[in-house]
Amino acid sequence: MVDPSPPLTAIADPIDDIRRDASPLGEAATGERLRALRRAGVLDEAGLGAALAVAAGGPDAGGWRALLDRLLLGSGAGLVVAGVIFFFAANWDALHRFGKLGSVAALLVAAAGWALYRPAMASGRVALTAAAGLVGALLAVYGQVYQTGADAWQLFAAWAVLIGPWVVAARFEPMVVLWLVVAELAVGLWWDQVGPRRLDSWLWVALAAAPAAAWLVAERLAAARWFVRGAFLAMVAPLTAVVLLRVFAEGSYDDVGQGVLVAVPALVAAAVYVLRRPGERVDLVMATGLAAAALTVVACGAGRLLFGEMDAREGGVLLMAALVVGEVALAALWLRGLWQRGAR
Amino acid sequence: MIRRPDVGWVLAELAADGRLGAGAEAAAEAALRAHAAEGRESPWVIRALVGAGAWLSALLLGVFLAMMDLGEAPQGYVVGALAVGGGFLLRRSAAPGSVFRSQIALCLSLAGHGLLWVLWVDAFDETGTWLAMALLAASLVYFPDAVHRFASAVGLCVAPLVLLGVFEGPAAAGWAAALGLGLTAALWGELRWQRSRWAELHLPVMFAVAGSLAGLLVLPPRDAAVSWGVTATLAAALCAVVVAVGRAVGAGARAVGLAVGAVVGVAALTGSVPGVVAAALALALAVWRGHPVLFGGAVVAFVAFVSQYYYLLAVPLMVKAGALLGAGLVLLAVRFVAAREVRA
Repeated sequence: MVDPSPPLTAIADPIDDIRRDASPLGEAATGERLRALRRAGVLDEAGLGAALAVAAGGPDAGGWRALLDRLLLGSGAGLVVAGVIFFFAANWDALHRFGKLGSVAALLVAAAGWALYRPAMASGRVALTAAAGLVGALLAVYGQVYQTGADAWQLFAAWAVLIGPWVVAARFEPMVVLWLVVAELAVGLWWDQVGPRRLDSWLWVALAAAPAAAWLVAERLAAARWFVRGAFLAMVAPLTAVVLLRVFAEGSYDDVGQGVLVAVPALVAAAVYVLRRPGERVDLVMATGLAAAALTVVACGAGRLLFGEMDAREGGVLLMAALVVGEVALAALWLRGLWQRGAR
Repeated sequence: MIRRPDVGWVLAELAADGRLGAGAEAAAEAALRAHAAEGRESPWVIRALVGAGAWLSALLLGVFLAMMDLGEAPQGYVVGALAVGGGFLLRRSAAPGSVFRSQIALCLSLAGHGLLWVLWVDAFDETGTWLAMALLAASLVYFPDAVHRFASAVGLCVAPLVLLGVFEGPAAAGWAAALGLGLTAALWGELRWQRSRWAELHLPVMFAVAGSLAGLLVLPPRDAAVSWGVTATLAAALCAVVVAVGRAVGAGARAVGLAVGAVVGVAALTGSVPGVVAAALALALAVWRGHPVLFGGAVVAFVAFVSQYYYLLAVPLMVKAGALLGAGLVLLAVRFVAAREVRA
């Protein structure tokens, strides 16, 4: 049966979106699909016109209202925050230290107060996200005014710790993204300022840890699809970098490439989880991310072999072009097969 | 997120209007399964992977040709023509689902196009660019591949600037405004275009125009009057879209007036960075016609252009702060008024 609920509503429910029916009738009504129905004789010429008009007619009044409500709130709040940042940048030198601290603190209290007043509303969550951002600004201003001598990593680590409870309480994906960025910066700066201070594979493993945790929690809580996918890709990218470090490392299992002992099993486990979950449809974006990682590793390995070991020149470049064509075609075939079997 | 309604819902709407008989749903499902099995369509993420692979392999092939000194010698014309012709024939003769052939054809043709363009521009200057434009136009129409069509359309969007020898200043700004109007026309007239014999060109051209518009506005015109002119043109297009959408959803004159006022207010406050209004225009068009990828791109562009504003040295920082704060407050005020009206 066709779902009679009106999907013209502009804002899609992400949980519903990730579990849509596997029937091709559940696919988006693109012009290409509607023309395929015309070619197959399901629609006549007038029917095609009517179908295109329904499909590309846009949201109804309620859909527009809901979408505009979010867009106006998000972009309006974003522009106000940007304007405030610009204002402080323009007047920084002229402000007294109490003025600097007080103005940021006042904004923080106002944003947090609004979030407390409207905790369940979108505006409350956006306000709490703004407050979380202002915590970092307050720490930075404090460090600048009183010259605490703290390293930059300490600022970001303190920022991540302080807003952690808000992130857990709000369960608001954009806020988790902010927390992830802050946490990753803290890890990266710690590595650079007090840690091993060299580019090695464990840094990339460490950078993959927070997105990995976010991905697993997001899967369990059925968070928004864009967030689940983003966290997964943010985990796969640094793990792939670990493998690439190993590919380009000179020695065998030296300290540049040891992280591969964690990265490869982690990538394999992630792939098994994404591709073999019983009762769940494969996510095509995640599968493509895995495929892209594999393609990158193979291409870099071949490049290392051809140009590093065999000193190939023109012929090597031509071989690399052929390899890229071949491996991308294979990946596309595999992904298309997944899609035809219901991956979305 | 936004998305188009699904095929099943569109068919249900047509059936409710008496345009479809019994059994249409089953026939449609069978037709769509056959369509997918033939490999006539792919999800965007697979197209993106294939496109990236084609670009990379074409680049490698181009490097190989350059290493063989074909970028300067007369025999380069022969090799370029063979690559373009071979790619064309290979693609035209490939079955819809033939990924390997399609990928090789893409690689050959893109590398051939690049080689011929370099040779022509080098040898004939202006005439060479006209020749390249003619080749791109022919490829856009006759090369049956969405990725290649997108590349050809991007080339056609950029070629006039190559012809003029400028990528910034009044001419580039004027061309950006023209692309903005072109994007509006492409989505406004989507229903008519999708029913024409050029239907398959719609998406590649639309995305190429949108991408080229964003790329051109990354370098804002240094002349304030020119910037304001572009912003005014794009804002006028956005107002026209707002009025059309308002009519389509049956919104009252007051609601439409409010939305137009918001557009004028934001345009007046961000006139020196036309990208902000351009992103808002793309956002509105994406929602209107249900294009989630365009929507995502517009959101990213909006954030990028607001960030770019910070580095615009021609405008004092305090003026920028006031403009952003004002624009944000305008949007929040519109949301507040709209919410009150809905409640009333």
